[in-house]
Amino acid sequence: MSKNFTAKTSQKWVLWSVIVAVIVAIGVVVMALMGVNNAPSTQSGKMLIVNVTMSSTQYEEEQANLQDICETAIADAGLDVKYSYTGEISLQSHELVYVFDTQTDLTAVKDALNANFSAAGNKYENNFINVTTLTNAVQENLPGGYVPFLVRNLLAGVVVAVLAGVYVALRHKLWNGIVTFLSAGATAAITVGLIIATRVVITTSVMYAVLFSMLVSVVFSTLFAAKAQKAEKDGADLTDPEALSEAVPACDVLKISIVVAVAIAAMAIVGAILAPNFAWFALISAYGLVAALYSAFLLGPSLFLVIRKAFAKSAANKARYDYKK
Amino acid sequence: MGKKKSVVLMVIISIVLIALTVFTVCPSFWFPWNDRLNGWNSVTAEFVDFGSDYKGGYYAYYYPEGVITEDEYKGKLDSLADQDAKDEYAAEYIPCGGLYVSKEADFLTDGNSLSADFRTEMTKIREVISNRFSQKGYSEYSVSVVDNYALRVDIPASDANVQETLQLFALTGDITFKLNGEVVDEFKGEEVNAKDFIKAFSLRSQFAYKFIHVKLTKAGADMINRLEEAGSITAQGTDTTMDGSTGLWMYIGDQAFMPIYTENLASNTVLKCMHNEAEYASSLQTRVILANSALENGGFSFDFSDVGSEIRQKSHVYGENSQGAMLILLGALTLAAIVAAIVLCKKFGMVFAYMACTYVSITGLCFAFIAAGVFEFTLGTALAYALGLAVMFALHARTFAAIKKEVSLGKTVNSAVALGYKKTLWSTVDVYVVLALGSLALAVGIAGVTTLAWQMLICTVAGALCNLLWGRVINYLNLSASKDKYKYFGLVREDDDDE
Repeated sequence: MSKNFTAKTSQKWVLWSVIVAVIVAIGVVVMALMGVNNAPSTQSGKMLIVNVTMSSTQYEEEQANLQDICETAIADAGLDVKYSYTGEISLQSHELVYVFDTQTDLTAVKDALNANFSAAGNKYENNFINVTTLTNAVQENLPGGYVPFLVRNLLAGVVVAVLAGVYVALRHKLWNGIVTFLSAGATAAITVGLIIATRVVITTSVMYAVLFSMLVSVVFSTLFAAKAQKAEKDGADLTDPEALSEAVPACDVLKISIVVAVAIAAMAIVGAILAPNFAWFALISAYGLVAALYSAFLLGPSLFLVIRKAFAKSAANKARYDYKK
Repeated sequence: MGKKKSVVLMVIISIVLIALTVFTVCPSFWFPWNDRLNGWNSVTAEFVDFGSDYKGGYYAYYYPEGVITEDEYKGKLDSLADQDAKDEYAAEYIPCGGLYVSKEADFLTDGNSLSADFRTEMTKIREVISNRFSQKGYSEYSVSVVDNYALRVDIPASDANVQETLQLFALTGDITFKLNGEVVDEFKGEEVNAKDFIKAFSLRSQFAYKFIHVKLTKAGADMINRLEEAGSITAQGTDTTMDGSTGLWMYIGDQAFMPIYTENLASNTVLKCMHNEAEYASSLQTRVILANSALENGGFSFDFSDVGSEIRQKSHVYGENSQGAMLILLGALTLAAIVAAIVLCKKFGMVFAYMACTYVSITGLCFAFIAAGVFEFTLGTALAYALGLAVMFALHARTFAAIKKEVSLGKTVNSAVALGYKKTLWSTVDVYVVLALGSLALAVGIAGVTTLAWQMLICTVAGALCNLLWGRVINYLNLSASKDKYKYFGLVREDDDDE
């Protein structure tokens, strides 16, 4: 990485800010046009419930066969299953549940399955297998309701950014605190924007990834502030991009970024391989990490430069005023 | 410190740490040679409360009295012998989707359609019940309406008292006080409101015990005083039935909810009820949430049938292997960090190995044993663990770089170590303070985020302890035992007189 990487990039705060704004705007437009992509398990649906009463040993042996019969009947009826799961009521009583769109007509498949399970000569003839349907109307896609869930958790994110900003400002200088706050906010905005714009499935886990990205961002900002403050104590003029680049070399941020990125990316990739359904979560975690790195590498230093310059200008004006007086 | 002392101490520390780490993470296995021992169950696998992400959950249906399932309806119909009885039975019910509604339950229906009053009340009751589950702090849960006439509740597997929670939260009645099964005089009449007698319920602690703190109003205090003076409130232990038929009981609807004994009368306006050991805190919390909800919302026009044994266990959301996969993944991540530390920092990297084992043990044991039933292990927990480990690694590597820099400036190894730690001390403290503040801020959130706050705080405190204290101790002992201090840090000796 070029030695004066930060010197070059730190002068383009407008560009980096516009990129953040564009990502957020795309997210807003996509949400306005298509809504958010709620997880199928959090949407309303019509359930086909196959209630099976047989001994647990027998059920263990027969579960795969029963599922095959159900899935064949569903495929024959030309229906698409949104998702399915199994339920255990007791050792003798089990459920196979298939969930479809609310408007799906399940009469034919229900009748076919009932006929199949009760047909003379069928090996399930003497077992208690009932097929029923229920329509599940989900009012809340997220725990506690959409609005309270988003408001309370976003408020938590704001408090994270404010507390980190205040601490860094008290420990170092006000401008360091402001950069910490803005970087954390921008990181959250980018993460949310990317999640909505790319139509990632929304579950509770999305909030973990957003808040995680903010925590990574405040760690980067804190280390940045410590280095910048030390350089200023040593007499560096950080309103100069070259001096800033020397005081907080991008390669330092890069080293830490690599450690964090490798850790999380490894977790995400291996996680997605081991349990394919982790893939969505792996993706949103990666979004959070990318957003935090963007703030640490590009946006943070450029915001620092512009805010530091503004404070220096204000201090100069005050000094001139005192002099005239 | 002398080399021998250092070696002895390091051996003891190593044995203890290995034992602790194995106790925490080693997978479960059986002892084939010994039938009397059930085998080994690791802390991580057995005691950590895995959420629905990894371990699935539970679900149940709340049917208003008068509403039955298609299974139940058909089962009853099939059991009837003659056609007339079947027709008579069928005429008693209106089919509504997959449910059957009794015509006798006139509040539910308006002719053959859903009663408007019932629809309004069902909407309200769903909100109230959903709010109860929300206060339990689950990472995932849902309360939805099924075929207009029933509710379906999904909760994660982490709740240790699933049946009790699902049964209690289905109660829709108002709060009353009954003496020997009869409503007390103050609660007789149409216009009585429990709020006139009780201000609030809360969960409190006293020594090692938890209890339900009931704050009474003036009218409530007068009622209790009257009953006490009349000798109606009995001492604990005298009621052997415990079904609400003897002594003074608080009821929710028709359900006996909480006994009140003379021992519970703490002061004029305070009752301290249901003292229990801390392990029952989750159960008492459920009761407090329910009681406050009943106090706030009053009673509803209909009750739900007993959930009883109809609670279903749901399969894993992310597949059967997800719990194991995530544990293997976190283990691999920790191992990779240790290997990377050794490669980058040579023997100083071994210090990180001790730190990582300590981090694993502290986080694993805390997740498992602090407030069981509260620390639900979710995907967010995995991120918190990984972030804590990554930050610990990065700060350790930073200290190594600072030590190396001091040596390159001509300092002796011992003074370079002291200076390296000193120069990185405040930035390390800053990072952990910011992370701790951030973790506490997460407590503002709801659902799994509140749990994540405490988990992140545990990871932060464990990381800070390792980076700021434990790592230094281990490094001091290791360095004292080391023959070549330059080699220890992977450095090349430039000046023979340096040491």
